[in-house]
Amino acid sequence: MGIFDHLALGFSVVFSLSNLLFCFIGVFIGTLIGVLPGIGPVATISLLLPVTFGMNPITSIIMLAGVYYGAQYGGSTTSILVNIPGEASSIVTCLDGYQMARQGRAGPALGISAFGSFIGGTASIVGLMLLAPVLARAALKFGPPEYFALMLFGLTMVTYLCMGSIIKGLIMAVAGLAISTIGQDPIVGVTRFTLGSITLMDGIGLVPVAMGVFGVGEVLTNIEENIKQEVFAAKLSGLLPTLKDWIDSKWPIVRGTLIGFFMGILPGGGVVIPTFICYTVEKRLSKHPEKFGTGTIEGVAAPETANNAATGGSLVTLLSLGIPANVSMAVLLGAFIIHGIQPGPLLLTKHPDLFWGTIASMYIGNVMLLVLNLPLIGIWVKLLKVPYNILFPLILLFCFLGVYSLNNNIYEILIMIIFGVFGYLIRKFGFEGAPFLLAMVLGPMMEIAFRQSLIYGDPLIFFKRPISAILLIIALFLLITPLFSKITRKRKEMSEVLEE
Amino acid sequence: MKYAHFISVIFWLAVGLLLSLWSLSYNIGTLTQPGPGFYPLGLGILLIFFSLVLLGQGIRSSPETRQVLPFSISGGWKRVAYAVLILLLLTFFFETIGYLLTFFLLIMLLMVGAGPQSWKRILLVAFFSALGVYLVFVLLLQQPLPRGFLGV
Repeated sequence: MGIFDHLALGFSVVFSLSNLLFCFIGVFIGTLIGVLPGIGPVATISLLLPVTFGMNPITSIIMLAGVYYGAQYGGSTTSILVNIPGEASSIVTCLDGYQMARQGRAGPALGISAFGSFIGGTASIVGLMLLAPVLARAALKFGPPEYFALMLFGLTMVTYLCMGSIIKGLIMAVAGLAISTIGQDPIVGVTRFTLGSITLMDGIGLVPVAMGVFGVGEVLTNIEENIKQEVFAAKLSGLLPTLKDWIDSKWPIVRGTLIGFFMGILPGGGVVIPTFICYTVEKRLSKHPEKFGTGTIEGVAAPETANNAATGGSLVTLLSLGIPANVSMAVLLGAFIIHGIQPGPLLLTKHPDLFWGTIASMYIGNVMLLVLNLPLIGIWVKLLKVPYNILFPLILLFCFLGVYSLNNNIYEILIMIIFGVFGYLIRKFGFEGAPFLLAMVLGPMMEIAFRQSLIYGDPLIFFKRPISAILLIIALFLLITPLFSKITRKRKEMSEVLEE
Repeated sequence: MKYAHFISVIFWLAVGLLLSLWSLSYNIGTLTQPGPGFYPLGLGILLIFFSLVLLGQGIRSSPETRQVLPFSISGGWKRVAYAVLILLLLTFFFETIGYLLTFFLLIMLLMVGAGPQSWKRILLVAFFSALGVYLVFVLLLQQPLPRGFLGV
C-alpha cells in the first residue's frame, strides 16, 4: 500500500459521525484550555482520560490529540490580548503580539497567528506522515540496550533543554525514575516501597501525579501570586492580515515550520523551545532587529507557527518509537496504554487504522481550528474576563473529580494533592516538573530495558552496540557542554525571559 | 549560598540516602543478574551525587545572591495553605457527605478564601457547579460518584 492508500484508510476512519464529533470536541476543549491561563494540555488530557474509558480507542486518541494541538492555537489569544501566555509555548508571542494589540493591530496579530498555526500544523502532519513509518521500520531492529540508550538520551535532552539549571533537571529526572519504582518490580514481581499500601501496589498512577504537578501545583502557584488578568479593551476589527503582513510573515512562517517540526521530534524539544529559537533566528535575520519587541508581525508569525509545527514533530517519536518527546506526549502514551495499545514500531502494522486515522484527524482538526478560532475570538475574550477566583475553584473541582473517576479511589485524590504541593514547591525552588513526569512515564520501560540488557552478560554492552553507544556518547556530551560559559549564558537569558 | 538552594540540597540528599538504604533491603543481585534492589539503589546513589553537585554550585555562587525562602511576604502562601487544607478535608469526608455536598462546599470555601466577593455570587457559582457535575457526570456519563448520607 502506498502512502495515499494509507491516508485514504485514515480518512475513511475519521469520516464517521462520532470521530468527527470527538475531533471537534477535542480541538474545541484544547483551544478553550489554551486560552485559559492556569490549565494546560497535560492536566486536561489527564482529566479527560476517565471519560474515554467507554469509548473506542481510535475516537479517544483522536479527541486527546485534538486537545494537544488545539491548545497551541488558543495560547496565542491570551498572549496578544492580555499579555499573559495561555500556554508556555506562547510566552514569546507576548513580546510583539501585545505591542501590536496596543497599537490597535490585535486583529492582524490574532489572524496571522491563526494562519501561521494552520500552515505550521498542517505541514508538520505531512512530515509526520512521511517520517514516522521510516523511523518505525528502523526501530524494529532495536533491542533492550538501544531502547535503554534512546530513553536515557531522551531524558538527557529534556534536562538539557529545560529552561533552568541542568543539575536541577537531572535531579527531577532521577526523582521521577525513583517514583516509578514504587509498586511491583517489573521483572520478578517483588513489591517495593509500598509501606503495605494496596493502592501503591500497582505503582503511583500517572494521572494523579500529572494532575497534581501540572493542575493543582499550577493553581496553587497562581493563587499565591493572586493573578488578575485585564483584557485589552481595544475593539477587534480586521482579523485578516493585509498583503504587507503576509509578505513580512512569509519566510518567518516557513522557518517556523521547519524549526518547530524538527525540534518537536527531538526528545525534550517540546513546543516551548522552538518558539524561543524561532524568535531569536528571526531577530537575527531581520533587517530591522530593533523593531522586535515593539509590535512587529514577524515576531508573532514565527513562534506561533513553530509551536504548532512542533506538535506534529513530537507525535513522530511517540507513534513510531513509543517514546514520548514531552510531557503531553507522556500523558498521551498513558492513554494509549489504558486502551490496551502499545505505541511503537508495531503500531503501524498492528493498528494501521489508529495510526492513519489519527494523522487524518489532525488534517481535519487543523481546518476546524482555523474555522473555529477566528470567528470565536470574541467569545474567548469574554471568557478571559471570568475572574480567576471563580476559575481556580472550578479547575480544582475538575482535578478532584477527574482523579476520583479514574478508579473510584480517594487515596488517588490524596496522591494528587500531595503531588500538587510538590509541584508548587518545586516551582518555588526553581525546579521543573517536565523531566520529573517524563521520567516517571519512561521509568518502568527503562528499568526493564536496563535489566534485560545486563542479562546479556556484559555490563559494557551499551557501549559495544553502535546505536546505543552513539546515543550514550551524545547524552554524555550534552551533559558536559554546559560547562562552556556561552551556553550557560544563553540558558540564563532564556530563564530570565521566562521569569519576566 | 542561597537559603532556598541549601534546603533543596538537604531535601534531595535525604531522599537519595533514604532511597539507597531502603533499596538495600531488597535483593541487589549482581551486575549481570540484577535483583529488584539494583536499579533503585543506582538511582539513590545518582540522587546523592547530583545533590552534592548542587551543593558545590551553591557554594561557588556569589554572596550577593543571598535571599530568604522564596515565598511572598504578602501572605500569599496562606491562601495556598488554606486551599490545600480544604482539599484535604473534603477528600477525607468525600465518601461520607457525598459528591453533591463536597463539590458545593469545595467551590464555596475556595471562593471564600480567595478574597472579598459577594455571598450571592459565591453561593450561585457553588450551586451551579454541583448541579453541573450532577447533570454531566452522573446523569449523562453515568459516573459512580459517592452519594453519602444525602443519598442523591
